[in-house]
Amino acid sequence: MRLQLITIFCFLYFFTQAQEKPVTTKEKKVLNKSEVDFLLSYYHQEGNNSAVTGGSGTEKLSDYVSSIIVTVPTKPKREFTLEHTMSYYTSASSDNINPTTISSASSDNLVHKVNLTEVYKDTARNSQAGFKLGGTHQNNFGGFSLGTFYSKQSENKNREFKVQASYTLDKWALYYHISKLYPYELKGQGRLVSTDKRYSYNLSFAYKQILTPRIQTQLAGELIYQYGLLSTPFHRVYFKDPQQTMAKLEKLPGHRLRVPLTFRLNYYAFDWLLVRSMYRYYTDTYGLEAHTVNLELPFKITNFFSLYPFTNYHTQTAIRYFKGYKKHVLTEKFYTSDYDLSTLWSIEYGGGFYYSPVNNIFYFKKGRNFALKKWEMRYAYYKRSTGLHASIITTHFGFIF
Amino acid sequence: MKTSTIKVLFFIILLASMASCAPVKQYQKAHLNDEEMQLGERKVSVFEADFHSYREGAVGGTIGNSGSGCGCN
Repeated sequence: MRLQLITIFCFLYFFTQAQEKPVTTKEKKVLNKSEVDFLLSYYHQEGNNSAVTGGSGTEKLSDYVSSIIVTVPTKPKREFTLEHTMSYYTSASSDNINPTTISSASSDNLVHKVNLTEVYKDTARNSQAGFKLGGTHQNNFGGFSLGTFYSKQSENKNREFKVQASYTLDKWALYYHISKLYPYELKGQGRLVSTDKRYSYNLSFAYKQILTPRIQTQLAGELIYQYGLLSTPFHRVYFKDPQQTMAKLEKLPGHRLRVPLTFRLNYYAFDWLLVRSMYRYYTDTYGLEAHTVNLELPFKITNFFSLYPFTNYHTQTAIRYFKGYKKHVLTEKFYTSDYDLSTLWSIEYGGGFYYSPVNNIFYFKKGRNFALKKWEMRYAYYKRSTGLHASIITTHFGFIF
Repeated sequence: MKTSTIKVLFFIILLASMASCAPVKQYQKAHLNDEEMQLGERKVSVFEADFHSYREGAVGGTIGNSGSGCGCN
């Protein structure tokens, strides 16, 4: 938390001091307010198919997440966004990589993610362009990404097309050799993986169309090409062959193309009821095919306060390299017992509220106005056909200044 | 789901998305400008999308980055 506050103050200081010339009074009038979004979340899951122990064993995990997103319009047509997410988790399955140490009690389980986005708006042409820089860091894993995007609206602003491209480089074992991540009984067996890097190229698009004064839709798609180490260097696989009693390390092909396609439709059905819906189709070269449907029904209790139930249903086929605990045979080239990649269905349901009064929830007026503009909270319960179940509660405070 | 069903489903989705409707004027967009009508994930549900991408094999489809992060626990 302290780190996040320091990051934000440095960011604000930098962008208020670094402008080449002072913002004129005329410019000040057209600048939007700066925004700070603060999110807190708690997630807990229980299950008994951990991939760390070959598809059989506890998946108990708790995750505490906080995130701060600061958006600062530095010029009328230019905006910076800095996002910092910090997550601390305790995982019983991680402890089983090496049962002689208790990793969940250490700082190994702290994850930092930082994203910086710069947007240029061309109001005359109804277009926006920008770039993104991102980084992920945890003790045994690090990532770096960069991307760019462009969007264009039609003259009447009823249609919008957005395209985005990005590149991500992830690396296992930042500070030591990857063999230190192997399960303890597999250490000393030489090189078990060919690389410790994963490369991802993303190309995505979104087409938005307003259909009526109450309905808008969006079609979005993505091409994700990944290569490198696509398996996890501490996932075990056990075989049914009697001569292979010791586990082997999970092994998956080094190339994967993933194609999700999403359709969204939002409908302001009545003055007191909205319908937010989403359908996603997904396929990849590992043989996984999935369908996901999401439905959310916000009831407008007042113009500024809504309550909503929601549900999410997902079904998928297994990748062709998946088999359960002690089901694989030694003649197979690739193998995994990760139940996240198995045939499954899942259902999630829950509810939340959204509160955003026109005169803000509260504000301080000391020099520059600082106000709490919106408050959201949401709870979800998740159940998977494999037996895994989870709960997540999240709250979001939106400030302006 | 059969391939033919998927094709029909996508054809319907494409038709619905590309449909040429009577243009909606700016003054008619009061409902569309409501924050809860915005297309895409709510900020408050971003961590749910995160854990879905770890606990299920499918990712992406929303404009954004998919691919980084360990997701191994």
